[in-house]
Amino acid sequence: MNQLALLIISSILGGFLTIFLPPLYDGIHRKIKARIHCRIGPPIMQTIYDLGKLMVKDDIVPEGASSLFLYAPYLAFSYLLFTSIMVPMIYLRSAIGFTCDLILILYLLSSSTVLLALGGLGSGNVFAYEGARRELTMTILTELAAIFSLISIMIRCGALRMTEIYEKASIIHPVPSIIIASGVLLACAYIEGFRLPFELPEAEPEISGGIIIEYSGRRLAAFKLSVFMKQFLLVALAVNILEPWSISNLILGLPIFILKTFIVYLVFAILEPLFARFRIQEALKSILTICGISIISLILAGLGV
Amino acid sequence: MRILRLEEIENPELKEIYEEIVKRFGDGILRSELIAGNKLHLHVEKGFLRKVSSHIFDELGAFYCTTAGVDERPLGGGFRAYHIFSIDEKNLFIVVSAEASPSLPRLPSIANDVQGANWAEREVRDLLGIEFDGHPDPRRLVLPDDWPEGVYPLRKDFRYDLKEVPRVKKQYPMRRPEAEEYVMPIGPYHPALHEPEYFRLYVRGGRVVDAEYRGFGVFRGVEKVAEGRLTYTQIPFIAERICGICGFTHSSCYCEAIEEASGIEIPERAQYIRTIMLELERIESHLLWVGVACHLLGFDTGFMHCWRIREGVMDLCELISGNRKTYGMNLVGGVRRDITEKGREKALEYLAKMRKELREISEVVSGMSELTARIKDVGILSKADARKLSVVGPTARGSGLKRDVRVDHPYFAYGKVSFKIPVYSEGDVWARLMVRVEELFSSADIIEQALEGIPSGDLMAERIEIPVGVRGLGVTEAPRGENIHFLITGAENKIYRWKVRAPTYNNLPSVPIMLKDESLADAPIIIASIDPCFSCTDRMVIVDEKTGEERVLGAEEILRLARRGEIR
Repeated sequence: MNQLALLIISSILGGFLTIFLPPLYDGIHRKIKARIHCRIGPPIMQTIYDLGKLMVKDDIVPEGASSLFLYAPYLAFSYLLFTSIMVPMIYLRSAIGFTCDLILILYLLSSSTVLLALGGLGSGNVFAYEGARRELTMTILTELAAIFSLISIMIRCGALRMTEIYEKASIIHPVPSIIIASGVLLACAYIEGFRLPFELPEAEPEISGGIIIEYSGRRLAAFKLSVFMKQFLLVALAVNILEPWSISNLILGLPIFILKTFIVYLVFAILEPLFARFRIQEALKSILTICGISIISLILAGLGV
Repeated sequence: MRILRLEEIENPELKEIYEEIVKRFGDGILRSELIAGNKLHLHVEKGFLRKVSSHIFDELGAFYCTTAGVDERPLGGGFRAYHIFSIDEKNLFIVVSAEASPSLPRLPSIANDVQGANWAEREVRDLLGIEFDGHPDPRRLVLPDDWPEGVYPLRKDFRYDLKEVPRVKKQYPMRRPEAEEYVMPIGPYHPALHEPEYFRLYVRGGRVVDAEYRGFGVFRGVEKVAEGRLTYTQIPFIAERICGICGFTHSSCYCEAIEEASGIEIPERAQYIRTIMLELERIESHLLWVGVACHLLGFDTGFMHCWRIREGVMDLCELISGNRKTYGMNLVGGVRRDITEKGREKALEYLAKMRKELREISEVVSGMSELTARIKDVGILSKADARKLSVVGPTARGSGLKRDVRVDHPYFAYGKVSFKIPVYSEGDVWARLMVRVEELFSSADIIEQALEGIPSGDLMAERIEIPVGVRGLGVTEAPRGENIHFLITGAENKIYRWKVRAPTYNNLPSVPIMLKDESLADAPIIIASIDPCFSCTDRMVIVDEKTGEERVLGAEEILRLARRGEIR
């Protein structure tokens, strides 16, 4: 009984964190970026205000937009909300957990990316078409890197269930293969979050917003939130594998989890203002390098290091 | 009606050129005169126009500046087109003009021999109705598509305050995309453009195969208003408002032209003050551009810091002129405000600080490898193309052409200061960036020397009298390149014809060449690399798309229009 209550609370809390923490972190990100730019910057709550405002704005649908355009953001959002229940964040067990749940998590994460790109394509706008083309090209390689690093974690921990992976990791960790693999996951999270220099699908001065150009109102809010959530879930996966010892702690689990993710987002925020936007070729080249690193972690895991 | 005799020319180089022209085209030259010692005006027979022009352009190595059309019917003539050429290395200008009959105005086109004249001739055709026979691309240039045929706004019988012009339904004949091509519209409203212009890119597999440009969407009719209702002393202020970034160079150029036409000697102190303000304006403009370039490449940190430094430059401008921008300092015959001793010291002090900041930002920008990788070998304009189109300013200097009005045709105090002119031969976006970055330091050098060497004296010329019917040609180096004002003085304290040619006008036709075979992602930075100033270019006619129909759009209608999703 006690355990069931814990499960329910942790799941609800997980979903709550996934929805509200990333916009807050984005606010902090914008503030830090502004300080580096020598600007004052918007208030930290600004991203949350923005999303709230978008929720009550009119939705404008271009003529000839397909049904993908209409439903993709909501679908991606619900996929990701479901995934947030499966990813253990502050409690070792998750409400929906079974053998191989890691595969499903990965599947849901990448489907949401593809859905968002298809939603952009469905708008029928040439700029959105160009943005979606870039997004899909990059996603293929990014997902590959993520898959390799997750497989190496599975091999090294000898388990397929998230819960078991964390349990095993807390015993055998720290080992090089897991550290490298989680590093790759964090890099994937950075790329998937449309951050510079990988901000190609939106690239406002080039293709005026790219895949989001036709979105407005609630759909835009759902779209933006989905991007935030996807990035957050990847970060959550990575930091918990990197530091698995606090998850089972009922009291310290939550604050330590927030601290861990905060540190990651802080690094992201300091990194972004240092870059200019890549061209697609350069972006693919650097993602390929990340793929190579993930293969190294795979080899290391195979060797049992 | 007379022909200049050889003995009247003092300049030996000009004498030689003139002798050659007379020898070859003697019968075709109807009239010739020399203005201000270095500006040779040749009035030629229609049939000789092409021959004389191509002789000057090809054999004398002159650059084409612009063409000014004038309605000379009230003066007892017909329509006249003035083709202006500049021989940079000899500090000479040659103005070739031919008259078209008032009843059926036709002239041979020189655009086949002098490619740069393509736009200018179309503009003269649109505004004055002179047909140019054999023009390679006789589409409309400056007038909107719904403007009726046969109504020419710069003719003297067209009232400057006319409001009702009947509209017709017509579409601009753009090229249709071929199979496998799709059209990527950049503009009329696009985040990379800060003014409404339309670049139509034909894209195949992510690469630009062709580009077309349709601009002149924001006409203001500056020239017509000046000719119609302003007096000489008012024009510097409207000239400064031609552009929000490089306005001072326009008012200076106008003043230079009119001072030259009427032989006004302005005091040295005023010349120095104009020079200082012009260079401050160049620093402001270049910093703005470097910032925008960083922004287009996604490097917002560079963008923000450039503009932070620019803020300081504007403070300096405020200290001297009282305004951050649009200084309002120029008058025909001098300047309105003095630089005080306190202001001079403060400015020198500030200059040292600014130099340090400029060095920091330029090192960051030019040393950032992913930034430079994106602009090297991108948007190449070859030296030959640059020469053919007669591009100006940093665009020319980035393509290996060493031309700068400040050195070639020194004006104000530029003859008295020494500075470096950066020239790069790569012709890519990077070269144009480096030219501008290095020019920031040249400008700082000029300001410093000018502030230190500024002589004391008056600010205004003592005698200001403007004769009727004389021609003046003012040339300045704007931040974007050579800026030309051609004018003819008129009676009643009013100007008869005032033609403005901003630098972007000559640079824009090079953009489609730069865009060819480049990836779509690079298109915005390539367009921006000439530092296009559309407001300067679109300065022509009082035409507002909406004036024909006087109605106010309601909120409902705006919503409906916005929702239609025009860009598809």
